[in-house]
Amino acid sequence: MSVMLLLIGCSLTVAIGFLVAFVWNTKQGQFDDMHTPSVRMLFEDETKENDN
Amino acid sequence: MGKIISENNTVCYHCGEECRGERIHFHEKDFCCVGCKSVFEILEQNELCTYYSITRSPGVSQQLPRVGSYYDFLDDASVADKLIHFKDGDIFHVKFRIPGMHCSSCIWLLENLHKINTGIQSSRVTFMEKELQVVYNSEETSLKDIVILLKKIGYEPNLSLDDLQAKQQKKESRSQIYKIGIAGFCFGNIMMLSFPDYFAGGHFLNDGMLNHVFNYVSLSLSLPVFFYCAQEFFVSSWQHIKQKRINIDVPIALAILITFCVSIYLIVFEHKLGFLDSMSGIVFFMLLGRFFQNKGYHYLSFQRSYASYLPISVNKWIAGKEVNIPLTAAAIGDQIVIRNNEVIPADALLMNDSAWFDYSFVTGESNWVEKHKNEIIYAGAMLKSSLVNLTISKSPSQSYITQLWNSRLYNKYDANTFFTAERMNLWFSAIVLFLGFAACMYWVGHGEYSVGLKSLITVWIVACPCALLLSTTFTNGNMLTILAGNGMFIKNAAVLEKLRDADTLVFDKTGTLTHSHQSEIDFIGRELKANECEAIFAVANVSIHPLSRRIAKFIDGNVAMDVTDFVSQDGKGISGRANGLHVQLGSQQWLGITTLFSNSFTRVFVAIDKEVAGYFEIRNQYRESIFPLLKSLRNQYDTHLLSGDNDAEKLHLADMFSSTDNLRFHCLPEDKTAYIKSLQSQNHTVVMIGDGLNDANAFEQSDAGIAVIEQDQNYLPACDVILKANRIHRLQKLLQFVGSTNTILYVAFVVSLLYNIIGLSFAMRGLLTPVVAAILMPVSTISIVGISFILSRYFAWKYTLSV
Repeated sequence: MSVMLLLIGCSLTVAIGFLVAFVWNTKQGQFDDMHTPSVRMLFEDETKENDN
Repeated sequence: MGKIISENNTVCYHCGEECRGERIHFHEKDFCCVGCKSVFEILEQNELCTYYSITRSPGVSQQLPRVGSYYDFLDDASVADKLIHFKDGDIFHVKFRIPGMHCSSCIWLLENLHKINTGIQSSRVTFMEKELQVVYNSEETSLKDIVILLKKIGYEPNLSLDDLQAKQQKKESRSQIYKIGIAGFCFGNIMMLSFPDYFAGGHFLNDGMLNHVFNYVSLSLSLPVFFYCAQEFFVSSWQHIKQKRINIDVPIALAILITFCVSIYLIVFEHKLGFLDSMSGIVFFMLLGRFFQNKGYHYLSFQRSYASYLPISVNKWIAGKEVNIPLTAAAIGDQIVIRNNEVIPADALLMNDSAWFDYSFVTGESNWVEKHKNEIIYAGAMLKSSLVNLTISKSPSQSYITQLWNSRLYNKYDANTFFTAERMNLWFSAIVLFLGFAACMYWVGHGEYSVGLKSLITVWIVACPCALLLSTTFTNGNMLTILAGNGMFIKNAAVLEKLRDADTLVFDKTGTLTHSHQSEIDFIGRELKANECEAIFAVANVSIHPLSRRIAKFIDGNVAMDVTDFVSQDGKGISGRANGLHVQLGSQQWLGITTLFSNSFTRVFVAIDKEVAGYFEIRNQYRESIFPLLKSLRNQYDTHLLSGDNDAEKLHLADMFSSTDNLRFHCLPEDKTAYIKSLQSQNHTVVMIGDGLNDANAFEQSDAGIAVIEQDQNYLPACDVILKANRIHRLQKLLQFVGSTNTILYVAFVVSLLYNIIGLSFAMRGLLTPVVAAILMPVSTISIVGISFILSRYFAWKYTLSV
């Protein structure tokens, strides 16, 4: 049954990894603007269009 | 007679507005005005026409009179320093607030500024905040150039004195996100660790060691929830208890505290699973609810000071030269220059012989006022004549307008205001406490001491008032979102409650019931021939009198015509000869007309070759379907009108309001405040609906102040609710919708009561196990959130609001 301890340890490590990523992203300002990026990603890349 | 040129169905390629009057045809596209066309030209030259393919006609209309702006003061290093928030060698970062930003095309264009000005390295939009951050190389371009470029493409940044006083507060909303994230993380993991125990009934696989590990891991995961995420509940309830008061956070903090302590006891001494999953779940959902309720509309600032209305800079005469200086540097005795449509920045003396001013924003008068040499012009007035010189007589911070502002009353909603839901909540908590004791007594009476203690504690745990609180926060959040989608922006949830209780509506007239930019004008009399129209236009166009200007604008003829023998007689009228015709425009008495007219409208009479042809009637133009709105609101509320204007339209308006006595004209801002105060002293809950600065104090005095704003207006008096002017005719539906909040809350309350009865029935028998709590808590939470979501949308549909 002690394999459970290992599994719990693994799952918590992974989960904490995600938590750290979340905190880091928030610090980078990822949640400051929830709207603009969704619009921005749909813009076509102008330069490519001209090259074609 | 009629419009000289009127082509319907032609829509401006740039801004999408119907082209009225003159239409500009350029590159096979139609434009409504020169402004729109020149924006198009700039974009075309820079190959930025993608702008027009993302959204149809995305531009901002350039038709309204724009104030000429001078940005020389931006070259002043001390001013620029306040706007620039980061410097790295030659690379400067600057943030602008751009009220005109409204669609994806705007984002696209504003983020491609570097294609127009190569000195700009990058520009990024934060749409929800209507902010633009520009990174530029100060060697290649300047702050002034960027501002001018933005203005040229129709996105004039809102620079006001307020912005010169730096403010940054992003931290707060971020800490809220941290808390939610961490609480959610801990909740999920504790839940997962508790799962095996739920099924094994408390003794997971009979393995003591494993059980310990699981419980202690759960305990350590709950620590950040208890000490960090739930902090705000403890802090706020402690602050209230210290002041010997109670608020909604007190029972919640109590429930969290009890759950946590009991769980520690169970884990450490009885080696059993605690209620930690329920506790962190509660904290998580409650934080989520508050976040949803408080997600603000950052770009709408409800608290603006007078400073954001006054111009940021002023042109001053220094040694015979006009120099642009920041307003903060202006001093008493300075000679300044003001042009048409500019706002007077400080109380000042007029140096010219005479000029016209629009005081509507300060006093509510709809008619322009003529001022003569050496008269005082109050700050906030808008010049309606050509260039004038003024001498500043009071510093901007001591002007009349500022005093209006500083006589603010009190903080309307202090933290101790109780609202219906909160009162219900406290009652509920009290009953639960009582039930807990009753159950405990019962068991103690039967000699079952441990069951008694257990039931006491578990009753408090299970009947935590959270479900009800959640229903309030989520319902308010839903309401605010739906209302915002319908053009009504509410400062905070407390205002909803006030709107719901309102029984008296007080309206302002100018700018609220009427359009602020438009007035209706008609010609009544005999048919005018085309050449006569042109002659009238030519004569009217010479005069600077505001009425002549409106008539000229109405006819909209050919500017090139010569006028001879032009005479202007003060207070009487004007006359002149054009197109071979002698034209007189003026008052009834001056033209010797004896017919009696009611004095409800302003009239300008016309005589051609000494023969009276008719008159122009100039009316305030009321907003579309404002009268049906007033008439139906009258049935539901006591409606009043407070106008700073004259009583010319009293008769017209009398039957739109509850009673003729409810109409007041010639109101000073102080009168409005006093009137509302007297209504409130008769126990009415008063909602004030207005627009201008003259309503600012009335907003403050009233229980809820609704500011009606035009699309392009970037200045607002302090208020509680912002209503888009084109939605004012929906006011009744919006208020009815707000009123439905109570129904939703009651339904949610009944449902949460059902869950509580189930939970209590377990708890009072001493049978509440962590499993039962762990099932009840999320189920009740989810059903309440669902009910609030579905019902709020149902009511929105019922009152024909868009969702």
